[in-house]
Amino acid sequence: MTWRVRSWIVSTAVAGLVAMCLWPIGTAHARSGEENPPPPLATRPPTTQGTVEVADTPAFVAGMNLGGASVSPPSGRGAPGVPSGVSSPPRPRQSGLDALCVREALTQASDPFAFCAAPPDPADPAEPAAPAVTANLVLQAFQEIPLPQPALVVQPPDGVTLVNLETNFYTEAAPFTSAVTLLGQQVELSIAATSFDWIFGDGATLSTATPGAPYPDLQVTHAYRQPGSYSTGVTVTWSADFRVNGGPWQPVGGTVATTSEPVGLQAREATPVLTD
Amino acid sequence: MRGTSLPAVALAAALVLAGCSDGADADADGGGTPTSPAATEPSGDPSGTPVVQAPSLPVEAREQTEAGAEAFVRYYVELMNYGQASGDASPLEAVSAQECGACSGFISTVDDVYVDGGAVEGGEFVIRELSPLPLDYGADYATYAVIDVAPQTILDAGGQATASDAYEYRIGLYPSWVDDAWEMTWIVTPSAA
Repeated sequence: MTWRVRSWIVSTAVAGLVAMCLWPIGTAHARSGEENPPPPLATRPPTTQGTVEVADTPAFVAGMNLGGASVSPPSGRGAPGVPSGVSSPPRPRQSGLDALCVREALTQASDPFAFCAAPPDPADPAEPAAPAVTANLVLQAFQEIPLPQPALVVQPPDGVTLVNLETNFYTEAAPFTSAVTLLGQQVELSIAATSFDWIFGDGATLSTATPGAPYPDLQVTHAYRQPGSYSTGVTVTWSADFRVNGGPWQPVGGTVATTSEPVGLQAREATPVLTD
Repeated sequence: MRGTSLPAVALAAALVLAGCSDGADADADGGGTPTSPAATEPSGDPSGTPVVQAPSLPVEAREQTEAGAEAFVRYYVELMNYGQASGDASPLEAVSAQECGACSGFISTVDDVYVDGGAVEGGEFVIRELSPLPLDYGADYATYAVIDVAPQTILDAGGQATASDAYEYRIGLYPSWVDDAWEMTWIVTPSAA
């Protein structure tokens, strides 16, 4: 173990960093005309003798940081938590930290014991577990949340359409979030419409995953084959995901439906009219 | 001491030695017998420059135990201080694994600073805190170190000084027991500094 590691990568990088610490960029070197070749950047004199440059990071600290970043961890021994197997090592006291998290903390110059602090252990009697917010409990809350009633829009407007014409239907159902408190815990719900069931009044129905769109973007249409009066409507099915106290999102095991007010529609036969 | 002796070096070395002594005293959180601080020989150099001696490996650090590993870590830091103060990084290299990039970075900095007659004032590493960490990098011991780095001035051959303020350094040290002795396998340092 008496060898030296002097790869040009580390040497060059460290010399460069030290130079950065020592001389500001653009400082000229005053030692021209000497017999010896220029010394490494770390020891080159500045243009102004007697002044003191100030470095943010001590040179040896900077050298260590750069050296550590220039070389990959030991190959074949890099897996966190895996002993080398070269000996029967003493087992260090358990820190309770995750090795990968410790790596991240140290590279960020953070205290690993603060950075990687484990969440409270529910099994620890000193940390009484909060009552569990179950998916069923959240579903009950979801069913009590006021949901927007869809407004059905029919085109052509004014409740009149023509037989065999593609009559357009759409509604609006933007996703939204809601928050409730269950068992003293904050529960967020992310609610979105996931299906739309259209009733055209002549016995025909249609189920879509989108709310349709205004003319001319025809997405949900229906052509009436017979003239008459029809009562139309749409039912929107809402689904939700929830999370407790900012935890992971999970689906609510149920849906809630809301139905529009019925919209009356007259389907008439077109009458040919001669014009100039 | 390598490099050309300069008038400034005497002052520098004296300050370094004073700092080393303070550092040993300040490291009061226990953890083994203190290693020998860098000592002086009043007239060991023709120029009058005091000679810094390398610290010796403590008895505890020769044991393949947890206490031995911690004693080795403390010894390793003393070798770093010795390397800074003397320009002699060879004892540090002798107990550093080839793969240890941060170790190599420190050693290279010693060589770069001292080539052609540079000198160092202060900058001693004083361990304020050691705390065990989970094993990693295949090492046999792991510890988190909070190190107080003393203010430092680096003098180059032309007398130009570069100063840095006191600095708190947080690193992870991972030594291994290899060939019946501890060596530093890996040191995790902040990636950006």
